[in-house]
Amino acid sequence: MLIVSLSNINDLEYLNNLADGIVVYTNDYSSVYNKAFSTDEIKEIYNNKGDLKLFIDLSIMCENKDIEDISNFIDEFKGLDVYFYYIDLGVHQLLKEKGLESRGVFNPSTLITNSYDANFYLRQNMLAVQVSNEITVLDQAKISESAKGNIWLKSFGYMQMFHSKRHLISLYEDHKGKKIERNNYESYLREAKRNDFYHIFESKRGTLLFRHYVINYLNELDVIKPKYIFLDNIFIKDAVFRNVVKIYSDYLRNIISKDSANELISSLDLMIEDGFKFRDTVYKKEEAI
Amino acid sequence: MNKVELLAPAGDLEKLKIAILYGADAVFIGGLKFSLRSRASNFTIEDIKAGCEFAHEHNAKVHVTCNILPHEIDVDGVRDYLHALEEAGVDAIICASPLIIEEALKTKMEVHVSTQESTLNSKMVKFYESLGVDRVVLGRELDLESIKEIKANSNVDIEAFIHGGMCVSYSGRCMLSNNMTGRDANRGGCAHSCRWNYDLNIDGTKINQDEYFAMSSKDLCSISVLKDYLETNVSSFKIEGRMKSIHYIATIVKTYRQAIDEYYATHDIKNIDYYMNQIRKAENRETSIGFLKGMTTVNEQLYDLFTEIPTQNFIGLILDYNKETQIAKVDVRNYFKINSKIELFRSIGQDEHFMLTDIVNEDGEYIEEANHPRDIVYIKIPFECKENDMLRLVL
Repeated sequence: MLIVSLSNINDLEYLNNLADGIVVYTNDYSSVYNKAFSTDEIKEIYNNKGDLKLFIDLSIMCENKDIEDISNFIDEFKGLDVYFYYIDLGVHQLLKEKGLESRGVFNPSTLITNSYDANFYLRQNMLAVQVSNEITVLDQAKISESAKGNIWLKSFGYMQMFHSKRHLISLYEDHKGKKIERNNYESYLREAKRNDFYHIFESKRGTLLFRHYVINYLNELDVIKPKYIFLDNIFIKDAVFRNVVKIYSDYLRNIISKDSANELISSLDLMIEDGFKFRDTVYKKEEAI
Repeated sequence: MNKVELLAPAGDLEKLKIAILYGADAVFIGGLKFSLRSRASNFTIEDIKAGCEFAHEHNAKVHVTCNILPHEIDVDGVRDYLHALEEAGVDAIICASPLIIEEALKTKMEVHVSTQESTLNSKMVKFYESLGVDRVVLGRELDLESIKEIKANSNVDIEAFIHGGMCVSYSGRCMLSNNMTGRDANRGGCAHSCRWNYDLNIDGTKINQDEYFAMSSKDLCSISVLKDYLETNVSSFKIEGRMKSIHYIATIVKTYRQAIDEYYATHDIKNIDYYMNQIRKAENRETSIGFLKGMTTVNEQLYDLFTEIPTQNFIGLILDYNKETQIAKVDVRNYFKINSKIELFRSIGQDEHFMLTDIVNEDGEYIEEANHPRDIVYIKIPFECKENDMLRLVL
């Protein structure tokens, strides 16, 4: 199933013809987004979503003070056919207590790195679990093959590297004693000794860093075979993202070949890299550097 | 009232013994498999067995970290390894991966959920309770009120950090090191990339001009809020730092031991300045209270990354002491010379000062200075002391 981020309610009709589901971001419970929506707006999206499955992003690390609010928020949608895409296991527990755990997709970013762990979470009656992008395609394929449930793969988008509770740009402003003109979508960190850039995004839920390159698993989908193929629009312009959705959709529906899809993706002028796809990383090698 | 456990790090067997002798109720160590902090995970099964024997003789416990998030290639051997740890006498396993949690639950060892899982709310604790774990280690992003509330609502032990380094990212949710160096933080290879220097560019303009943009945080030190921390009723206070020296471990452990004991004796901790001064004798990084009193401010951040303060005042470890001659056999750790003022830093009891008059080397020769670390020298100490007490220069 092709699942895509939604930035504009006017895209619903277009997406209905191309995708199977959408992820929407919330003003209060999403940490990073191109466009966040209010509860009323999400209900409007629900009413206009057609056949699309609606996944609500709850990408905050929850503290007790958040739980009641999130609980109330979930209750707003309890009677509707919606799903929740969360990063904190506390949200799973909350959904479980409401009898809604089968509507949850668990995305713990880096944490699901082997088939045993994936199946453990799937045994908790989650709808799907997101496999880490920090492992190789071979490992992702093995996890997917062994999964006794649904695997969610972030197949396209910028890869999140880091999530801090600290407001790192605001703290730097305080340190320097001067205001900084903000633009979350054009802010980058460059490590001092490497020509290596990271998107930096600060929201009320902290600071997130993303790799400056897009990861694209289109070539590996037939190896990994995830149930849910997620295209994430963060930092990608709407017009470009619409093209990405169309290319993936056409490829998945056998309208275009893999080669054609790759050519079209290449023409979008995005910087694409393989990430950890073919690069197994070092286990216990602190002494190497 | 249940007394809080003081849990100390130990990177090797010597550090394990020092931590326990200076007041730790338990130590956490890393074996050769499945543990983060690879350079500090040197314990063979034989070492672990010896460590457990020593700990149990001193009414202390040993927790072993098995908190990596294994890839497919890493998963073989978990069961055998856990069985070997159980046979060695290990009291608890600290783990993050469900694979290791579930295997550890089949043993008689306690199962503690690692801070790598960034547990920050009662619902998540409830989830782990339902699995049957014994303890959850909280993330380091919580304030004292939140910690207290989580403890009040939990049916398992709650462990929280009181001292040491802080991840800037939520623990376990960081790929920076892996991305920049190929060293996987969740498999023991963190390169601490969050502590490196960066330029901040917005809309094509470099914002930082005269210094780098930094994300690094000061280390956690909770002495100044320890009384409130104790009143959260958590089960265990953890000190971070398996890579740290024996002097650091001894100093931090003894300081918290004394402060905790003062609280249980008097329901107060009066002389915070004294305890802070003790900690400064070993702490070479700037410290703050982190999130314990709420959202961090600029005071909890570290912008000058070269502010490490060298702590050269640890000069030797006492290996033996002859009460009749008052001569101590000393393992030299840093330079010192005669006519220096020395502090006897005891594992138990008050520290005392004296003037160093003579140094004798292993050949029986009087020397002016001890300038080779790990040399053995003999000095006169006019107070009774014992093996594993330490000597510091009074600066």
